[in-house]
Amino acid sequence: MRKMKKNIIRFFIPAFCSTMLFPAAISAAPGGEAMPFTRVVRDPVAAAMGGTGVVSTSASAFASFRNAAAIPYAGNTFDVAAGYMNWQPSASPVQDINAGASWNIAGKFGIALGFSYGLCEKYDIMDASGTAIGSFSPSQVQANLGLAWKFLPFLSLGANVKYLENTLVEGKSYGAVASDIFLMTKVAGLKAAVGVSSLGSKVKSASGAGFSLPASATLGLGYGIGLGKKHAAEVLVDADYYFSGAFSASAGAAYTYNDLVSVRAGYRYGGKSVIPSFASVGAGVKFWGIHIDVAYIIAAGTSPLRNTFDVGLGYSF
Amino acid sequence: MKKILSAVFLSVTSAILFSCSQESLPVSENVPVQDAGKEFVTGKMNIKLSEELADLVEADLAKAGAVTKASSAELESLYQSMGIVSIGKLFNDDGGNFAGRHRKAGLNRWYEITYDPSVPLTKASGDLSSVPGIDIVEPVRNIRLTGRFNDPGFPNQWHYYNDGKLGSKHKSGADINVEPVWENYTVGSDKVIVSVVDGGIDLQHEDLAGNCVSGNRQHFNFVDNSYQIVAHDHGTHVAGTVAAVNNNGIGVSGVAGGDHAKGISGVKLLSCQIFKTDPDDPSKDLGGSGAAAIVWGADHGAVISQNSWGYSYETQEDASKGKIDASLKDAVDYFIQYAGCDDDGNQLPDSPMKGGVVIFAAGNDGWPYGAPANYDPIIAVGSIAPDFTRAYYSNYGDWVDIAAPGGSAEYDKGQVYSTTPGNSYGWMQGTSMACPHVSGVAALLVSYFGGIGFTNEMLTDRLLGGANSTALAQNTKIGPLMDALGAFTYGGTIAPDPVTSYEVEAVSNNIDMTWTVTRDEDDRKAFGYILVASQNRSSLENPDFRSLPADVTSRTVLVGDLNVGDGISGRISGLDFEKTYYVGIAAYDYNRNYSDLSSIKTVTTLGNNPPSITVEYDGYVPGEVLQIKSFEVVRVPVAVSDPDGHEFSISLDSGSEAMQGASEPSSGKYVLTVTGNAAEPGTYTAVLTATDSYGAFTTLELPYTILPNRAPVIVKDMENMIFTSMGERTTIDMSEYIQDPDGEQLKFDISISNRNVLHINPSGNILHVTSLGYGNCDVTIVASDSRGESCTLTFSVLIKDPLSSLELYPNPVTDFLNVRTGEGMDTRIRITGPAGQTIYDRTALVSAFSPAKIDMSGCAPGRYSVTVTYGGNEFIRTVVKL
Repeated sequence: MRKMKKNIIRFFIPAFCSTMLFPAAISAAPGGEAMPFTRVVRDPVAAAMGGTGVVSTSASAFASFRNAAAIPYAGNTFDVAAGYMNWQPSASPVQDINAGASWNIAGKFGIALGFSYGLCEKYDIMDASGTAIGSFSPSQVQANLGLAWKFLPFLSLGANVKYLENTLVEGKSYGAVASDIFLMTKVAGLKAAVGVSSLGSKVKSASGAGFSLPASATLGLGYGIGLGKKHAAEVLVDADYYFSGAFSASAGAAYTYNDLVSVRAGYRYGGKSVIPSFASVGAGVKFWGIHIDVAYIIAAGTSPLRNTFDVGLGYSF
Repeated sequence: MKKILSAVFLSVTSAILFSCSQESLPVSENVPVQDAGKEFVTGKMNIKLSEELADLVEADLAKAGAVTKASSAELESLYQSMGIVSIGKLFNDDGGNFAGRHRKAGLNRWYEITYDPSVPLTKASGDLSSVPGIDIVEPVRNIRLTGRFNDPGFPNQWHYYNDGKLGSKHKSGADINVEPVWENYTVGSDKVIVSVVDGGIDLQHEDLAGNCVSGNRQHFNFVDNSYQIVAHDHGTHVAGTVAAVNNNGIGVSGVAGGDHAKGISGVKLLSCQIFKTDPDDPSKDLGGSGAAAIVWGADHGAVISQNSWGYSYETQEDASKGKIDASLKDAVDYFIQYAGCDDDGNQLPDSPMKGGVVIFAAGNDGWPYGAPANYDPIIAVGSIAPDFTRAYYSNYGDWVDIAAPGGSAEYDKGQVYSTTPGNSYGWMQGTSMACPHVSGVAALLVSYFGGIGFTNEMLTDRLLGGANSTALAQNTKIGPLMDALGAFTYGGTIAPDPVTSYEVEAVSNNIDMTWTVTRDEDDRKAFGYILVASQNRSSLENPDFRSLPADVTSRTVLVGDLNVGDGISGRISGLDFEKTYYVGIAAYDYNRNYSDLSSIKTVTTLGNNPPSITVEYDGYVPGEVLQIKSFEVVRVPVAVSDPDGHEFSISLDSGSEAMQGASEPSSGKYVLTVTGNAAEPGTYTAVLTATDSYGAFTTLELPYTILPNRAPVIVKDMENMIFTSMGERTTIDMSEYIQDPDGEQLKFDISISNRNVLHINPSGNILHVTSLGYGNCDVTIVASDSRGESCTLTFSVLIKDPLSSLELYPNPVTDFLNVRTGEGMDTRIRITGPAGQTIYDRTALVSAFSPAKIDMSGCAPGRYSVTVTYGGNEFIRTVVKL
């Protein structure tokens, strides 16, 4: 007879069951695109509008993350901003510190810089037998440079070059270079841009397999109107067709009173893209060139994006 | 491995060799066998248990006073079948005061079993040997005191009684033959004083004080010129040989130490100290005047002067010229003349002897010289080793008067054992140790023969005249060997009384005779008897016992400890069968003075009977085949005896390698051992033959069958196990899972895939399982029988951290991710990418031993969030894919 100590909790399961419970390994077909964090919108203005922003000209500090071709159309000469975003805090939190700046040179050229550092939640390192043997906190870094040239009065060309790095274990980092290339036009209140996003090098896994970045063909549309001297509104729409076959679209709207206070809302349809669907709201204030913006993502109960929020502080003139 | 201590009889009459192995005698050898007789105690057996069983038995005895079935079902069952009365510890640890070191030495594992005395020794031994956990089974020997006295050191004092067994080179009889004197004459008398001219005696020694002269101003220290005696190793050792208190249950015996238990005082020791340890250099002694010390003895009542000292010479040439100093000569002469006498040389009325004797050690240089011992009036004593040879150091020559045991360090336990200062005891060698043996015997002689008219010449005459002149080789040159009995019987010319009545009986070709011990007028009782037989009556008429006719067969029987009137018997063996013999008995004393032959009787010897063979095995039925299972080792005791008492030998034609035979002295049986797996299954026949010394024989055919082997089988699948903490233990009884159809104890070989997490220690059918660390492993158990047939059982063990109900591993993952929970239930697993994309979402049955195995090889390197939902709870973990 086997003796059982009372402080031992033991379960006895017939050995023959072990081959019946999980009959076969299951392939995880999605997830084949590397460094998807590069598609996360860092700008709290864009985040509040469902992630739209390809043709946004009101907040150009983060243009290096999306579309540098928008800089020559910006309403200010210089815009710099920094923000903090708590990405998917209910699932696998990432504490993101973001910063960007843009310079509109006489409405003809544009230069943008951007940087992001994300500190990820610590995870338990487990050996092959399921024993915890340590822990590690991953990190992700992104550094951007964007250039724009308005080579015709109604048409500009912009390109971003981004260096991406993701450190997953002690002493092991993955790196990639990505780029965004856009053509953009603005006629009266109508803005349109077309180009490619996140086109870049592949990332090799430990087994040697190559994984592409989540690149897409991107279309952005926008329309802004003024309603008297104190009221203004803008509507933006982005659409991406990913080279992996996924499609996503975002729409957002903003209302600004007296060029001082703004409220924003939007929705993203994620489809099978790297970022799922969500709705978002946000607001902003601006005075003496300083602008403060916030965004909050409203996602379904099971979505890892729920409770994500983004705040930013900027200055423009 | 069990060890059964066994002994082998080498001859009918005597020697016993001990062995501690299972090795049996080759069956081709003819081994004389005789009944074990009364060498072992019936109804008692000593056993040594394994550590595990010892702990269980100890707990049982403390709790219930008996072994329970839970500890050992086999041992418990013997209470009934063997009639066990009690089981108790063999070694008393004094209430636990010595429990620690007893356990360290394994003494705690020895137990003494008392059982029904009617149960044969061989059955008891066999039954106990078959109990798992009993390592050694040992019958309890009948023991006796090896000497007349109960002093615990006496067995070491071969110099008094040497049976040749104390050391490998010891020889029986190389002693002073003093035991018969203690038995028949005297153990000493306090009227005799021996002055010990030597280092100071430890007068307070527990084993000497009773025999030291009492009163103030008796002993004297000639080193310090003081009455204060300072104890000295040498002097105390010498004094102990002369008269350590006998039979007081402590220490050693002395030659003339009395009998404390009977209230008989020994001779008295007078310390005349002439040596003292130099306090500035303890390796050296300071000396005093030996001459003055000798005179002091004569003036203070001593009649024997014991001197274990001599002169020191640089070279042998110097020694060859050495002679006694004039002062010492005068002192020796004075002692011899005036000891025990008044100023006029007349014997004092209370003195046991007129005049004294001065006894000196011959010296330890190995030279043929030795002053002052070589002074003629002195009795010079040389030294023998325990084998009758001259000790390597002993001086020798014609001037040496007598030899005595002084011992030799070249022999195991070959030195003399006696008292040393501080209630201690020790071994020393030298003519210094031989000398007090002679002084002691001299003191015994004075004790017995002393009185008015007894002189020192009479003493010397007995002492030297009674010595054994044939014991030592002629070239030994240290005189005859001291023989205490010879000294007491020296000069006796009166033969013992003849035997007037005796019984006679023929047993085959032997004639047994029974009579009573007769007295001896001058030696108290006969020393021995000679039994004679002849087919020619005239050969027994007026026989010369020192030179009997060729047609007379004789045997001698020694009286030993028997007293006058005690019954005594002897046997004349080796006679012709079925012939008429004339027989008689004559007594003789120590000096070979023979009595008249008894009346002659006629007896006719009988015919020869062959030995008998009886199988004493419960499972044996004559005419049937003995059935042996393939794994069994069966002991079949066989009683072999010869009704005529003749020696016999046993031979065995075993029939197969499975059977072997050997004598078992503990039981007196010949034991056939059948080892089932030593031969192929089949039927064989063993033939056992016992042949007596005259060629008569008996055979026994013993057919036996070794049954076919059946492989072990799994009777129940082993369950997987979960531990929830490290260092926890449990046990598994393998008999619930694997059984052998033949009932054999199986051997379990265990392999563990990860020895960092689990340890298993098998003990019989029980596996002791200990968790070492968190993790999982697979356990494979191969159960094998003695013929190598086996079956295999496997199971898994998980040692799970109780704080972690969910484990995702390995992490980081390169291909397959395992998700392990506790109890099996439907579990939803959802994996989302770094940006929130759902890449996997599925529900399935997951458990500790059936983890979900998810292929993540198609996922890009990055962080993934895994949400696991089961049992109403949701757990979120981060997994990294590389």
